[in-house]
Amino acid sequence: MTPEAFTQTLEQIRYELAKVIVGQEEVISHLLICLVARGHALIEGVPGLGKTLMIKSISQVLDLQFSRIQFTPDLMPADITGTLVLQEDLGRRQFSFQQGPIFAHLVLADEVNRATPKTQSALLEAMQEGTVTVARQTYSLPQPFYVFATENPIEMEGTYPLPEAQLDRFLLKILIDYPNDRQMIEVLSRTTSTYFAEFQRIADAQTLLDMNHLAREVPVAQAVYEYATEIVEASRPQQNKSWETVRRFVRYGSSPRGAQALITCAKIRALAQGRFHASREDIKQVALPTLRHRLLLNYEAQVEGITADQIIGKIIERLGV
Amino acid sequence: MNEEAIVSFCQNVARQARKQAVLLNSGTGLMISALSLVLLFWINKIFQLALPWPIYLLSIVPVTALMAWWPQRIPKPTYAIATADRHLGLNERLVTANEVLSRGQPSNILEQRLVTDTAQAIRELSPQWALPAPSIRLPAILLSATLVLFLVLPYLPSIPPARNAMLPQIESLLRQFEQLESPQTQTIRWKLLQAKRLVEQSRQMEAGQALEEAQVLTRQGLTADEQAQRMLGQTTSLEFLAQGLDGNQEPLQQLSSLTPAEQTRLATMLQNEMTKLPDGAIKTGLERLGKALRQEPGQVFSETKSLSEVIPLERALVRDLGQAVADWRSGENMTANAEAAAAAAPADAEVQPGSGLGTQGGVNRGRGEQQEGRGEYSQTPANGQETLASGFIYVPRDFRMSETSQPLVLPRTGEDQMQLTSEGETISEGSFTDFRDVLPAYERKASDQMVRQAFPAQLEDLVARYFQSLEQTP
Repeated sequence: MTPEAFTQTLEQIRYELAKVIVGQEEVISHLLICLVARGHALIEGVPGLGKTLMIKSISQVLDLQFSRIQFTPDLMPADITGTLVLQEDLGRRQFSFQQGPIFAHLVLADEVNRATPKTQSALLEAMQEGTVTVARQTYSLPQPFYVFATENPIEMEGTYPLPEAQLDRFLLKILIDYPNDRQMIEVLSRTTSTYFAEFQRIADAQTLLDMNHLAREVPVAQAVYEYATEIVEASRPQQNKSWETVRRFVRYGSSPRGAQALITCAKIRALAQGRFHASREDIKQVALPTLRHRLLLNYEAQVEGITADQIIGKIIERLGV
Repeated sequence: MNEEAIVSFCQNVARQARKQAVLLNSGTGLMISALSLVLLFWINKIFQLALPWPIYLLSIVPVTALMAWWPQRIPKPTYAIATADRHLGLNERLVTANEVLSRGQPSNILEQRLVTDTAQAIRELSPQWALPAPSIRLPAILLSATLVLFLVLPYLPSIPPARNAMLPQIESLLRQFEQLESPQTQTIRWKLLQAKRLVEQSRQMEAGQALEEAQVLTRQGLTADEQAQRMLGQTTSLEFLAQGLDGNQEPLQQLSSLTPAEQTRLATMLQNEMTKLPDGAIKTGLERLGKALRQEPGQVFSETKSLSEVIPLERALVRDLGQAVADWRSGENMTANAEAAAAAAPADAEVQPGSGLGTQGGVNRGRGEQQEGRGEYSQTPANGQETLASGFIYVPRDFRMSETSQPLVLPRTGEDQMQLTSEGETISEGSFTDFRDVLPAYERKASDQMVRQAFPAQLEDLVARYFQSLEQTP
């Protein structure tokens, strides 16, 4: 795949998604980054903002096996991964593995924070290794494998915060906000009429793998690596040189996965914009969705209403260009 | 082709950065040196130090130091390229391409595209403008400060240097020591003159050393004079000098009118005291006075006056002895009277007239030496007889020589009644009686004598104080 094809593919995907998704360009860009990076995305927003529709549309545009799991408090891990069932074949009864909904290219874990942490943790191996182990038997998931989870703000009732280990496995955490007036009017116009969008398949799983391979070849200067490292280190209150704001409000900073995510996303963003190298500006632009779910704030930050985005913004501002 | 363009551009950028660093460091060093030089001029002007020219070479130190240090301040090529990248808005494109090329040829399509893209981006750019203008804030500040200080330099006031402050002091000291004639004083004067000459030659350090030597010598001389003053204070025989030193001519006349025997005795005493004195101004003065007393009586007055002039610092101390001089003189007269009275006194006299002088304690308080000296002259009217009790007084012959030629009869009743006869008791001349019995009569008699100028003028005050002390005696 050439860089031009890469850029063109992404533009076509955007175009197709725009048929059903009004606005939310940044959210779509970040989702596409996840797709190219073979990463998982956590999408947070109040109900009714089109999260599920957006992910379902992506699967259609990219011709990916799509599976949706509605997380509920009584959902069990086996409901996700699959389970062994007793089958009778030619008079012999034996256990066979019945794949769960996780066996798909793109899994929509809808309202993932409504399930218990035990069930949420069922996704850990799948997200990190791309495999599922049931009864000592490991099953590979189709590649590329994506988990796009949606969640409601944790302040809402009946939600369970995701475990830190699972949060760290999401490449990006994408926040969806309300559409503006113009976009709202467009949404109303489309959804309350006979408007029907028919998607054109732009790419497939192999295309995404090729795009991922190309993105990994994007050259990165040493200074950009250093910049990403500085940001991640600055988010850790345990560091000797950490700043007062970080020490005061952050319980745990970003893991090395955060730095990896920064570089990966910066590379894809650069390619998506027609450039052949990642820059500091790319790092800065992807820092918020990449790191916001990796910074665990303490109680004081919650009391004072400090968000991870504010901390990251301060870090970037302090580091300068 | 593209690779060469990028490499060449990066090399030029690094060279440009090096050039900027050298110019900036040199300029800063020069400015610091110039500022240092002007400051040295300032110091020289203000304090009039006449700094030797090697001192001005110190201003080269900043330049030398920065020249030695500048290789460490030259930015590394990677830093220079990154700076140029940011300045040109290439968003790490040049840096990345440079790193790719530093590893060898581009290994994939993205690196090839990057090199091509970067080469196109820098094609129109000049390495000379690739770097931001160096910050010349520090050299500019230094230059401004140097210019301001240089322009102000001609208008700087001069603080009076140390030599100007020292000269009047040295000259004043010289004037004082010119009046002192001891050998040691001559040495001190020579040292002061040497210090003055050194100050005029701006050789402050050497002048200070000369002054210190003069100070040591002066301290030694003062120590000698202090000893001399202490001895003078213990020698009542010399206390007459005080009035003369204080400018009063009468004691000087008295000194001149001393009998040859008295002058010889005084000279002997001076000689004795001088042997105890170290070298000093007072010793020199006393030597001269003693010599005058022995050999040139006519010079006594001038020597005494000279002594008072050469020892201005000691004058006040010696002046304190003025009162004792009069006591010594009056004591001598009284002793002479007592001696005459003793000759006329009856052999069976019950009292000792010499001890009667003890009643003059109001006058002779604290003058033990004077009494001791007086004892050398005095002779009791009745040697070997018992001591007169306190409160008794000798009746001098002056009363017998009254104009009435009447025998003295003490008043026993009515102190305000002046009677030559009492209620039947008569006191014979030259005898002893309670002074309270004769005090009113004595006072009246003395007053009459003073009115008739029977007493020497210089003794009138002494007599008055004598009676005053008697009145105060319980």
